[in-house]
Formats: sequence, structure tokens, C-alpha cells
Amino acid sequence: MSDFSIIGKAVALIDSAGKTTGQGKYADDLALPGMLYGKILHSPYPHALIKRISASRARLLEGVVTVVTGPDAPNKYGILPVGHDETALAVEKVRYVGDNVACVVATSEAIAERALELIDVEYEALPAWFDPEDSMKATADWIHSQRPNNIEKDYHHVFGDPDKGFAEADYVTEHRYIAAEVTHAAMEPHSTLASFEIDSLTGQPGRLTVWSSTQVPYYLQHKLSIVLEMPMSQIRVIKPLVGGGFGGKSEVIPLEIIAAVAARKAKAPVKITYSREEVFWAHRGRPRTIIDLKTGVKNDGRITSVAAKVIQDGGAYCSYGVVTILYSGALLGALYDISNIKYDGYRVLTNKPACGAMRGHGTVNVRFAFESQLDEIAVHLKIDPAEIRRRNLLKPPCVTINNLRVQSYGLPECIEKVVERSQWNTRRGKLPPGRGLGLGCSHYVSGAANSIIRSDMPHSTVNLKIDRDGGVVVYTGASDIGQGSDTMVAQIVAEVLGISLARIKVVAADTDLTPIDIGSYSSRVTFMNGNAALRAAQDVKSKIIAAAARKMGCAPEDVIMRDDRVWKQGANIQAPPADQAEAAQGSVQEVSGRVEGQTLRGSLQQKRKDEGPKDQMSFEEAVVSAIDFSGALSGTGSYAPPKEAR
Amino acid sequence: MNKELVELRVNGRRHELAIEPSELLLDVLRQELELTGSKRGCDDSSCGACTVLVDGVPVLSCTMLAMSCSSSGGATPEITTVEGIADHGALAAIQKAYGDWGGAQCGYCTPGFMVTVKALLDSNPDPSEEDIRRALSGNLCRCTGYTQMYQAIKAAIEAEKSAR
Repeated sequence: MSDFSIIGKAVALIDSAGKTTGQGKYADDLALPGMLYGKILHSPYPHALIKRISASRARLLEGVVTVVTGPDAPNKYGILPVGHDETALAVEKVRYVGDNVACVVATSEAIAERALELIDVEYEALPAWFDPEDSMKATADWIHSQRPNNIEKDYHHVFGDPDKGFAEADYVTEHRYIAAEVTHAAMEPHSTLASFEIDSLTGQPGRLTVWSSTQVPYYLQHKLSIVLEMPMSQIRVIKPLVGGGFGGKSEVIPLEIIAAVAARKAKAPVKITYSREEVFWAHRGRPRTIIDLKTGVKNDGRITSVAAKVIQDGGAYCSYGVVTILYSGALLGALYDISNIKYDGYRVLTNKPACGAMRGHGTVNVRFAFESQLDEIAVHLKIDPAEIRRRNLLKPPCVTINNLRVQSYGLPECIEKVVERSQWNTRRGKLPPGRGLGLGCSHYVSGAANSIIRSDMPHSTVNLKIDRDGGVVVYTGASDIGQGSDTMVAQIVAEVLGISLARIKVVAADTDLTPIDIGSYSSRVTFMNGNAALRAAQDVKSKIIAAAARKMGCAPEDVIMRDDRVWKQGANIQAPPADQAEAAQGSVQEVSGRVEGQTLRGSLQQKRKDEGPKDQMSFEEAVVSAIDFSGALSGTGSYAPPKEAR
Repeated sequence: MNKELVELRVNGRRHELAIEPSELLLDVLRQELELTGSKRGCDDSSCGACTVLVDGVPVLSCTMLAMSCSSSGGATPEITTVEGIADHGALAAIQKAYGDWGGAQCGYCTPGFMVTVKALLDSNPDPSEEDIRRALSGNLCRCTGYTQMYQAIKAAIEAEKSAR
């Protein structure tokens, strides 16, 4: 019985029917009574001072409720605590074409759009920078005054002895590689609905609820609290279905803050949904990257030293930039066995939409350069490109020269599979003109060890509630953005408790109901939230098993839970009859065997008979005995990265 | 702008609405009729998330005026949205198959695919792989990479055949 019954098997996403019928709700599908629409006025200048904004003509248009500008919410925020350089709307200057200047709130989107043309803004243009290498030379008119020479962040790392490594090399090569900027292009444009409730005690606007297309509801709650000067406990963020993220919703996007500020000023619920053009302005994509890369190798292809100078074209705000440029260097170390690394990274501000996190955060562009150079070296040394990679493999578990713990690897097996299935040895170099076979490797860290807001607290917590009829509700903060985390959590809980998926309901990503999970980014959700779900389910399972063991007169270690049944090791288990197996797919299963049950408000009130020990029971019987035994049945589990990893 | 009274037939039901002549079909469906299944992805008819059927033909509701779908003397055109695809309250074969085969991930493009596939299978119950690919060429998906969709469509065709 070591094989799994639920995980590792292809199942329909538990929310797939909502997606195929159109019943599932994304942020822009939501509406509230009295809801107003917000439209944002964007800057036509890449870099300019705002001398004056007058919205008086816009306010006169029938249907316009209010116009919001920078001074309505001047507190600075940003996804990183070290990068608080954004405001809801521009306070004194604009920094890229598309920067947020004002927001009209009106009874319809069409009216709000018409009103945008009636806002008068006087700008004083400033010199603007569009290339990071030019921008770094700026001596005045910096994009953010606190960032001299428009350098957001620079890192200079040396691991091992790079100079010695190059001296020992038989062959050293150096080139410049440039990777273009990329945006996420999730199918769903960002959308946010914000609404305040009147507080019963004070009679004033009180709690705020925000429904938003986000990968990071808890970070949104935190940033809203900074900008609106409200306690986080007064802000509820709910993530409805999200139509893809890819990193583009992994930080607080301007409209999320603007909608809340607008709802406060308009004294009514406000929804803002970006047009596709606005999605490109909000951006936060993968930056254009200039990589000067130098690699030294022995004649057998073994790498002796690597030096990289990386310049990222970050756009007008910090966003995740400080992390992106860190990862670009840090991830040089963990794919191959390299004992000497020199890294100089520069994150540079330019007057363009801000770059942020995108799939493979920070690593993709430098990896492109590295793998290209490795191919060039292979050609020079006349070594097969697959072979030169084999010769530089790590031997996990290990710690790299820059202190990354490599626990799982898979690269050797991966290379062999690719070589085999591409018919590498027979087809390479023999394809018609314009066709070719190439090999490139890449890797990523499964979950950053430190959360953005540093603390020793868990990164994920999951709670479980079990009802008397054996229904299980999982409360997880994980944000399903289409990657299937709700289903993943349901599968893990079902596996541990030995029950069918149909018994499980997942409540996810609602800051009022679900315990914290830091968000869907960094390839961390299955690892961290999955482990929290595993521990929560094990917590509950131990309680059920303790009660079941008592009832069956055996040791807890001898209790088995599987296929919606609980039994004593060695018991003669009869497969449930087909019609009962069918019933297990539904929400209510009848209590059978020697337990008398009566349905009471949809749950089971259980009466125990005096009876001798039994050797098997249904899942609901076991649940009821656990509730009998301990008075209540719920569980919790958390995951925090180990201290030595932080 | 002055509103005009129009009659629309959507998913077999008749609606009388007062709308502005400039209103797009997608906005009328989503905001007036609260049929939010059809999605706006791009604003410029490149993504297909807003696809609906008008008399069985796939059209992009984000670039079609609602008034052009009202009756103008003759018969009122029949509009079918994703909400009109389910089979008497249960998933239609194609909807079930998209779930089972992972044809929907984030699901935002899925309504457009559902109506596009319905139009394909209504006119051609046994399409070739190339027919399927051609029919789906106006719909974009950012998550799945389409292979799972082709598998789902084939599975749905098989399911329909064995049910017949």
C-alpha cells in the first residue's frame, strides 16, 4: 500500500467546471449595487514635472462623481520594503509614458473616459533616458532623486578566486549578449473592485474589501494598509479566479491602490479594469538585459572561472528590481559546478514602464548568455554541446560556491533524455538549411528562503475543518492563478486522509478567512503551501487515528485510512459495493455498519451503541468518533524555510 | 447619447433592452444581461476570448455593435454565449473533456474556445486534426499550449459518438 491513490494522477482541476461554463467569476465579472467605474489618466510624457492639474471641467460632466489625484493618497509604497518609490497617482512628476496622473470615477466607463479629456494638466518636460548605459551617465534630473546616476541597485560579488581561475584556464572567451524586454501578456487584463463598509459603531466608513486579479493578496493587503493608513485587519483582500499571472500580478499594480483610494473618495464601490494598452504600461515584465560574459575553461571543457557584468533596463520604478538583479548573479552558480565566480550587476532606472518579476525571475536572460557562450566554447574545443554540459555537472546534494543548497537536480537525466529523444547523435548537423538541433539548460529555486517582508514566521499556513458527515473544508491562502494550486492542496489533503476528492472543498486566498500564504511566485506554492497542507492533514489524521485506534482496540500505528475507509491492519477489508462507491462521489454518504445515525440539518448526529471492538469503519464514523473523543476536529499546518537556508 | 429599444435573443431567451447605438455586444452581454462568461482580453479582436455565436457563426463580440444583432424587420438572430452551451444543467461533452484533459488552466480564454469548438462540431461532427487547428486559430491561450485542447476535443468527439 505504498502507492498513492490521489496524488500523481491526472484529475480535472476542481474549479474547471466554472471555467468551461462561464460561471466562474474573475475580478471584472464582479459588480456591486451602486458600483462606479474608474478610468485612469496616463502621462503623455516620459519624464516631466506636473506644474498644475485642474479637474474642474471634468467634474462638471454629468455622471462624474469625483476625480482623484496624487495628493489624495501621497504615501509611498512598492513591492519591496527597500523600493518604496511609487504613489497611487503621480504626486510631483511623471516618469514614463503611461504613468498614472489622475483617476475619474463615474457612473459608466464611457462617461469616465470622456471626462479624462477634460482634465487639464500642465507639464514641464525633463530630460528622459531610454537606454540604461546612457541613463547611468546622468549627472542631473535623476528619475528618483534618492537614486544617484539612476542606479537603483548594484551588486559586486566575488566567490572563490576568479582571477586565479582565469589564469588556470586553457581557453578564455568574452562576449556581449543582449536580451530584449518581454511582457507577461496574461489573457486577463488586471481588474480591481474596492468597497468600504460603514462601521456600525462609528457610523463612518470602516472596513475595506478588495477583489483583485492578484498573485499576492497578502502583500496587497499590506501595501493598501500603508497607503490608506488603515490597519491590515480592517482590509480584506479576496482573490477571485485569476486569468493568468506569469509574474505580472505578483506585485501591487497601480490600479489596485487607485481603486481603493477612489472608492474612499467617491464613497461608493469602484471598479477599475485595465485596457490591454494599460496592461502594457503597468508592465513589470522581464527587463532588457545587457550581459558582458567571460568564461574560462580547461581543454576538456571544465569551467574554471566565470565573470559577468549585467545591466538591466529597469524602467521607471524599483518594482522587484533589487531582487531581479540579485538573482541574475546568484543563479549563475547553481546549474553547473563552478568554483570561481565574479558578478557585477546594475539595475538601472529609465523612463519606461517598470520591469518586475516574470517567469524564471532574473535568471532567464543571463542563462541565455551563459548557454550561448558554452555552445561557442564547445565549438571551439570541438566538444559535443551535450558532453560539455555533462562534464560540468554538480553532484547533489551539495552547496554551491555561492551557498545555494542543491537538494534535487535531475539535470544529468534530463540531458540524457533530450539526447535520446531528439536523436541528437544522428540528426544534429544533418538537418536541412534553416533547421537545427540545440541544447540549453536552465534551473530555478523552488521557493525563496526569505519572504519579501522579512520575518521568521511561516510562509504558508493551512487550516482544515472536518464536518460530522466527513466533509472537509481546506482553508489555504495559496493563490490559484490557473496553475492549479487549489486542486494541488485538495489532492494532498485527500491523499493523507485517504478520502475521495469529492469530499473536499477548498476556500482559498481570502485574507479574512484563510491563514497567510505569501503568494504565487518564486515557484514556491506546491513546495511550501503543499507542505503546510500536508502537515495540516497529518495533524487531523493523527486525531482521527487516535480515536479510531481506541475504538478498534489497536495501536495507532496499525490504523490505515484509504478509499474513504478506516481499518485495522490485517482486517479483512471488503471493497464497498459499487453503488456505495458511487455515493462517495456525492457530498453525503450514508452511515452504515453498526453506527446509528440520523440526519440533522444535513449533518449526522451520531449515537453510539455499546459494542465490542470492530476492525473497520467508514471515514465518517471515524470522524464522528474523533469528535466524540476530543470535542472538535480541526487541524493546522505551516511551512517555514529552515533557519540554515535563510 | 439617446438610447434605443432593441430586442436580443440570447441562449434561447428574448430580452428587450434600451441601449446606446454605440454599445458593443460584449458590454451589453456582460453588463446589461450579466452574462459575464464572455471575456474581454485584448480590445482589438486579436484574442478571441469574447467569441459568441450569432446564428451559429463565431463572431467577436468586442468589435460588434449590439444593435446589429437585434431584429431589423426579419427574424431576430440567435446569440449563443458560453452560458448557453451546458447540456440541461450538466456539462456538455466538450466542457467535461476540457476539464478532464487540462484544456483549461487559468480559464480566461476558455469561454471563447467553448463556443468556437461548438460551432466547429455543429457544422462538422468529425473534424480532422487540421480542421480543428484551423477552427481554433482565432483563439489565443497563454497557459496550455493547445495540445491538451486538441486531446480534449478528440475525447469529446469520441464521447459524443459512443453516446449516439
